Amino acid sequence: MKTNFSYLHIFAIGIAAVVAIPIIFTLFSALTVELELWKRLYDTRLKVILPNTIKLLISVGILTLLIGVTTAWIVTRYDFAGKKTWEWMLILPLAIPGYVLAYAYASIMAPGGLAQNIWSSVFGDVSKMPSLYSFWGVSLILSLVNYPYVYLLTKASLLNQNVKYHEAARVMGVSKYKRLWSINIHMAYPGIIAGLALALMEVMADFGTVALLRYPTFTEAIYRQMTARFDPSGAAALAFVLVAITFLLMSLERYFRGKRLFEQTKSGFKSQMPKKLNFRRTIVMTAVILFILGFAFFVPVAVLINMALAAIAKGGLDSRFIEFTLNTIFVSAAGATIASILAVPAAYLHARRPGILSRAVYYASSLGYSLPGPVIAVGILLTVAALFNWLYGSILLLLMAYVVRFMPISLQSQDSSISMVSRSMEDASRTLGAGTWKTFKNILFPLIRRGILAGWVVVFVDCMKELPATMMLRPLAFDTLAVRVWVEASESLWDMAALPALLIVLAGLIPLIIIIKKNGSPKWC
Amino acid sequence: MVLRLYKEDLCVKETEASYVLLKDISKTFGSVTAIPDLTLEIKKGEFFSLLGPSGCGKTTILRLIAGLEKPDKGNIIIEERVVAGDEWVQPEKRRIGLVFQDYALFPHMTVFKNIAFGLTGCSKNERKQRVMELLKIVGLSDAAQRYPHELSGGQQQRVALARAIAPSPQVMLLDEPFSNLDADLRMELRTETKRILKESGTTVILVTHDQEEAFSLSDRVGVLNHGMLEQVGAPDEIYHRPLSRFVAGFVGRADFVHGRIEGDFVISGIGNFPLDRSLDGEIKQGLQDVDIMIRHDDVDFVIDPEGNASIIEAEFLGAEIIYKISLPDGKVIHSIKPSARIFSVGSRVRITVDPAHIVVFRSEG
Repeated sequence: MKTNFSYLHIFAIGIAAVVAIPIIFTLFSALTVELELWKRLYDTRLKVILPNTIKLLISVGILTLLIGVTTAWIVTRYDFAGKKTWEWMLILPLAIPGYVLAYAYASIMAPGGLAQNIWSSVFGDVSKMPSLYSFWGVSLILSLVNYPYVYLLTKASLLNQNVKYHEAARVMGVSKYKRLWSINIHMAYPGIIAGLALALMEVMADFGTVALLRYPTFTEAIYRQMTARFDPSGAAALAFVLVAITFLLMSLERYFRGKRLFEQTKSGFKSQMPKKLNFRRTIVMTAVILFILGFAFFVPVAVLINMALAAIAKGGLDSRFIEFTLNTIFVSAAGATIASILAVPAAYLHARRPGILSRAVYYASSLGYSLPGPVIAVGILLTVAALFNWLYGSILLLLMAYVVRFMPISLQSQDSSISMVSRSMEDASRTLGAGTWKTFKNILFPLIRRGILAGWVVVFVDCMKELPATMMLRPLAFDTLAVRVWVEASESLWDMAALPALLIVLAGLIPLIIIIKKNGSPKWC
Repeated sequence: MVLRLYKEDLCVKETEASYVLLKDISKTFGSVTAIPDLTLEIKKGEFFSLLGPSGCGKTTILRLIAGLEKPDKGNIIIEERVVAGDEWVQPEKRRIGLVFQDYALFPHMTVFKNIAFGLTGCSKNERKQRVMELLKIVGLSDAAQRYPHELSGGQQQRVALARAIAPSPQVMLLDEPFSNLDADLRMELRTETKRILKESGTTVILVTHDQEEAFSLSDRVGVLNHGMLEQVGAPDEIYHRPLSRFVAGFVGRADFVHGRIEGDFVISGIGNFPLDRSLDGEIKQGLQDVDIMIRHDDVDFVIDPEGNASIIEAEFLGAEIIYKISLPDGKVIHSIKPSARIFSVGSRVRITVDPAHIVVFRSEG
């Protein structure tokens, strides 16, 4: 049965091709770009965005490490009142897309806003107040949004540490600080690196934050090259460089992780007992966490709610708002449903018929997730222009972008759900006289339904939040919530953006609740 | 009350138990050869066991018969129909029952639905009747509406058996069905399973690494090593007349003592034994240096201060004790004796060896 080539393979290969073609198309068209254009691109764009991007990666890297590792350390190594609550609350910032947080702070720090009032009453001169529209502003926003990746994976690594190693070191007479560094932190290394890599990938893919705060990076440059200059070759070339940096980052992560063996002894697992804290230290730890959560979640959400209420009072819940919401729900549900269905053949083959072909199909179908939205949008626009011109301006382009970018999430969640079902379950069904289809329908599908649904929800919410590809591919006058936030916020119409922004944050909380309930690290990120 | 396992008046057809033939079968997984070349015939209605250590390819053979794997070469024939090789019959069309090691009960279905799953093409009433009948046979009539996770391991095993029997398969395959159970429950279910399957008259193929299980259940046993059949025969034949050193060691405790063949006798440090020349081809060809297989229960001893052997270790097993005895030439031999009387380590003893069957192998020096 193992090497059987079936109609399922044909389906899966077809789907993988549809998903992979826009990406491959972009990369190839970048290779045909003439040297002249490369030079011009360097002078007008790369000279600025390359150092900007690298600077941003370094600063966000340091900040997310600092926040993520510290908070993970506090909740795993100490025991104090309220710790259980902080433990799940610390991932809440994941619900806020970067552009929403940027917009919230832009409104707070706007002339006559809350921050200026506080500043003038404390320091006086408002003109000396640091600007959000700066390198440090962007760095802080992106760090507050992305530190939970480092937090989650570091926490998981720390919890997986067997106390035996710590005890062994202690018996050998190693000092407390040396144990902390060379046992705890070093053994959590793979988790820390993986979390950092995820956070930095998000930084590379971010469009809304940098565009809103006018800090040019690749995504913003690709967007402008495509929409303002109508220069697909230039956009493809920039996309090529961005993809190259992304892959470099991914291989760096592999390199740093792959060199070390972190296989721990499984037998007699016992994790380190958290240290009970006295009252004074409890206050300190709570203050540290509240400080981070305050800036990353509570203050911006409170401001959003406040502005949303003001907008409602001004009649913000009008038919236009309902139209944006329905548009958003429609495209996101369609995207999630198509992605969930199309992922089934590849996930099934990968989990059940291992082999080179299955693996190739799986990875080809997963290509999109590591790529920023603008790159995928450029790929789809180039492909459509070359092959399916008649599709131009249709909603299908947008759905295709969602599928290319987010189908890997469905794949991952289905693949792991199928792997958790014992294979003998399906074998039993076959020997009892049920064919392949009946076995899938009656046995496998009911058992993985939850996994498929969980994947669907995550994709749905990601489609809702997606900004750049939506802006580049949406049909004329087709607005979604994300688009509205961006349009209103870039016009400084703060109150107008509050309702859609709040709705996006609320939707973003759904998958987090699923994770918190499952009490594990998110497999899909 | 006698319950019939196969009822012609129900949806289930009366079947003649049939034989299974595997001919020149080979199977590799990547670079690993699971089965190099295997030919095996199983008779109608017999209870056959495939016995071997883990990784010897026994489960692969079951999966090949069930159609869950395809052989690279060779034919599999069930009741005169080629099901793999020249033809291919899907597993769902083979009318095979398979009881899995992990039972593979469908977790989202009740016990009733699990058993009814394979009963297609009959009316609702017939189905219900059949399932209830099977539940009665396995003694779980009141568990019909429970879910697998609410059952104990033994109960799950019974449901798995009932589910496999339900569509009255031509051949029943059991993949280590007792290995996940506690020792005493294992004994109980073993007898019960044997009774149920004997009544059905189905051809049964059991895969196990437990020689006691294979011996107590089977009409015939095939001993497998690295995907090759070392010996096929009745349980007593396998135990008393193993054809290879591997079989001798795998199906029971044995020591090997060096000896020389002289005429009709084999001469050794622990005694001279008459040879049964009909047994071994190699002996006929003038083999002289041999190792004699001595089972632990072939060796007896008495305490004798003048004796030339001594007890160097005693392993208490409960009802019996295994004594490790050193011989004058420095070799050791084991003896198993009832634990009613205990002999102390260090005692000098005189041993007597009285093998039930003399089995010799080419000497390994």
